[in-house]
Amino acid sequence: MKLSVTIIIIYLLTFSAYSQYNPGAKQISLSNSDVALSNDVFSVFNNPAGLSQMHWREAGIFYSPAPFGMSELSNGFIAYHEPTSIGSFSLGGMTYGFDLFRETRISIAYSNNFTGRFFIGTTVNYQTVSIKNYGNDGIFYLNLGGLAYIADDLRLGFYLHNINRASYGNTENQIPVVINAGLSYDVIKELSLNFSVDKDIKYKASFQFGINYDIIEYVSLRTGFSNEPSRFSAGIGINYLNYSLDYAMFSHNALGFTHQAGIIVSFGREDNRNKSIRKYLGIE
Amino acid sequence: MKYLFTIIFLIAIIIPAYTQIDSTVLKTEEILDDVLIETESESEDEDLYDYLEEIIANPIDLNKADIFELTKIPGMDNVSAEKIIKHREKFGNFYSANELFAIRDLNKNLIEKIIPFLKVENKFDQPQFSESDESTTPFYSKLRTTLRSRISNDLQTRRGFSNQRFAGSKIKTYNRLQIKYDKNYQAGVLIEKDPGEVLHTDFSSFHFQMKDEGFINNLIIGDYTIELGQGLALWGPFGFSKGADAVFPVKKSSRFIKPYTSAAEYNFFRGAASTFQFDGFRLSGFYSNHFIDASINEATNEIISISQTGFHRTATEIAKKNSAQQIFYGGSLDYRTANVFNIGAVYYKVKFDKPLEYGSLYDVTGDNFNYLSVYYNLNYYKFSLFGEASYDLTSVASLNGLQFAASDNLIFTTAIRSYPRNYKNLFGFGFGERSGKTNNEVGFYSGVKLRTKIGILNLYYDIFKFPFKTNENSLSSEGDELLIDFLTNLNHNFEIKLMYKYENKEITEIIDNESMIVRRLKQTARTELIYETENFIRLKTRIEYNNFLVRLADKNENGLLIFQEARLLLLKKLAVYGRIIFFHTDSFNSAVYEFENDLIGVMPNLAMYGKGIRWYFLIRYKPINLITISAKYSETYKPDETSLSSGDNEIIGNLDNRFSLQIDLSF
Repeated sequence: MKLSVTIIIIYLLTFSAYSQYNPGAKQISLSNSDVALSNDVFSVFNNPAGLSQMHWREAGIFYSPAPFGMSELSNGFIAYHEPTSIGSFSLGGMTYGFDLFRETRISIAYSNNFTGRFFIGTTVNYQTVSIKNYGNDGIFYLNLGGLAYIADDLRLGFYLHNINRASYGNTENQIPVVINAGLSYDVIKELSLNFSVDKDIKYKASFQFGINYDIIEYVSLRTGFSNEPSRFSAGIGINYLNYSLDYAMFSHNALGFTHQAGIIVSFGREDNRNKSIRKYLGIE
Repeated sequence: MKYLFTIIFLIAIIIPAYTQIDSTVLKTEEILDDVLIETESESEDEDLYDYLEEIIANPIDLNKADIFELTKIPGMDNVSAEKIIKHREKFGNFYSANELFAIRDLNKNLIEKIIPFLKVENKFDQPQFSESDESTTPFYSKLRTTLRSRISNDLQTRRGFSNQRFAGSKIKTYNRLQIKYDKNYQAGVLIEKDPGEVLHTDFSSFHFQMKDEGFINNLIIGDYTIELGQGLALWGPFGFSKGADAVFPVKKSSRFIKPYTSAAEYNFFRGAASTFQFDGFRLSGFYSNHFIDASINEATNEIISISQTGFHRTATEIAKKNSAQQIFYGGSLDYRTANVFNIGAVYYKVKFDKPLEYGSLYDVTGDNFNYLSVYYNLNYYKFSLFGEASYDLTSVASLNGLQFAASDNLIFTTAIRSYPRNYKNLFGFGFGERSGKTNNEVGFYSGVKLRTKIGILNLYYDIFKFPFKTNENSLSSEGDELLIDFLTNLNHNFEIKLMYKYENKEITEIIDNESMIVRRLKQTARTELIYETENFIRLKTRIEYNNFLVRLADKNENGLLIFQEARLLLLKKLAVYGRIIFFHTDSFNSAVYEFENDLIGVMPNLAMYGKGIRWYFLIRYKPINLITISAKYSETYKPDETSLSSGDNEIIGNLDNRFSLQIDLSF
């Protein structure tokens, strides 16, 4: 029993180092290549700059019951976004693990729009870890992101995760330090191609690619892949009124498929997501 | 310190102010970006920056300049220079540099790049002093003083300090004072101390200059440098070498005799030099006598080698200080007819108080060296021919080149260089693979610059051979290099730069306990995205990948670097820079080099290797016109290492950080 707990804990620690499994369901189905897209409430965990593209209130919940078939790795996220006249504020929360090992996080993000085409955002995270019969620790870390509309249909984005290199206790590198930069291009209004490079200070660079296609008003199809570690991902989103219900899955060479899902509720959004953002930014 | 960074970044984000800033420094940085490409040697010298700062501080008069003057501007080619002059001859003097935009077939992109180097002296705008005015004008109103004071300090302790091999303190200091009176007189003093040196005046330099007084064109007393022709015989401490601009660096534009204002601590003269001008003729004479750093063979009293580092930290280094005397004198004659033809000759002699020991490498020996060199430059139609041949009484080093502008948008250049192994280069800085060595190298360079509607393409191909053994190889070796650089503006605030470099060279590897000369192939690919909104924010993302391959030694290594940079111009006259670099390379062989922004006057080129991150944060603040304050904090962190660097520079731990501060006063 003790041994298996130890193994699970080691897994948890390595898993938590893989920032590319950040929520939500849309992000995962695009293999997290969406740094330059970042147009929903879960951007608070990814590129916070994207949040102020949205001029409406939004709330989301995401749950991954058993990553790699292990319910001990289950994780859940909630997020809320509030646009104001001085910029957008967002709140996020995470819980991850099981009764012997648990990590929780609270995030507060601020994002603003300069010159109508350029967005910058930052997230302050407070993350705690508790290992049963061992101890607890909590730390602050900071993310920073930027997003620019180079042309009406081309965006450039980047984010830095944990720029202050915070870590638990006296051990270094318990929280991944990551840079992610990429492009997002709308081939047609309904189809966007996303490409990004993700470099964790400790691991090889990962190239990520994803396609988001709004095939009809109500349905979005998504797929993506990345290397290091190699994975294939796919997902579907159902958009009805102001609700989006998203499902995503991705593969792991040895551990098979992982499934997750999320719901996003938008308040006061008049059109669909893309149309509303375009209208707000004055893009035809 | 980490939290300081966090706080500053937050402040930087929250203050949304749109303002303008003094643009000289920004321009210098952007131009350096265009012309240079990271070389494979770490450097932190100031000569390069010094060079550009000087030409920006002394802009070229658009109404007086000839072709030779105009082509000193980085990125400027012959044909564009000729167009400017033709326009001036046809329509009369320029009233402002912006008038260049009216020349229809002059490239807009080029104009934007060259404007900072140009001025127009309009007689009507100048205050006219009558006799009576002049007597009442106080003497100090024509006086301009600039003071630059810099300190920098490593926050970690290097091995040389912990084991007390270094005699002095960790701090590095630099102080430079320059006083100009009117346009004709200048005096300057510089003192510098490197980390580990004892005295703040470890290196000191002084000069006094007088210009354009009667037929004396230029007179310098103190420290100076000389640049002539293509630099085979005489050149200063800095010269451009192969870079992102395929055409510009090949043909050198000399600046004759200049005050020495750098702290590189070698390759300068101390004495007096003067130039006299009669119409198109310029006659110069120079004399220098000073002590240089050298390691001496005590038994034979011969010079083993001349030291160029300028470090006096350990007992060995201190012993080298000023241990040999160097006397240098000579003269030159130069003739030019406006815009078409320039020819010149120089002769000089160098004497050391001790003979140079017979060196196994280049057989430079004796205590007495003589050089005679002839150079030329001819501009005709769409062609420009240039070259130099330098004779040291043993052999002749030569470089001959051609620049050809096939059309407005296509410029082609080619140059053949031949620097024999027994050419004893002391003060030359010839164009070549081993930048500045001007010895034991034969090479053929071709480059093309093509301006198209979709962007600017630079391409060069260089073949070189070292006929005799070099430091790296015990036999002759050879190689070739190809660079393709493409720059495109998708729209007025977004730029993409793509670069590919292929470098094939012979190196020595030990295979099965046997030293062998084998082929080494290094390929580099780079993508850079630059986004800029009007005078407010500039973002730069770079992704660079390289592969280092030695097939026979089974070495196949990769390197990757990603950086994100932001430059914000906030409030009035405040510039904030931040860059975070992630790198991951298999070893030092696949190291990725990057230039970074630093205090005004410094431009380091650093090697990133291993696995880790580096970030820096730089602030430049100009509260009032008299003063500019700059400060930089930088940090390199490699999570898996237990020590960084090696030898006396070794740091125990995985963090290397530094803080530096500079104040520029000008009144």
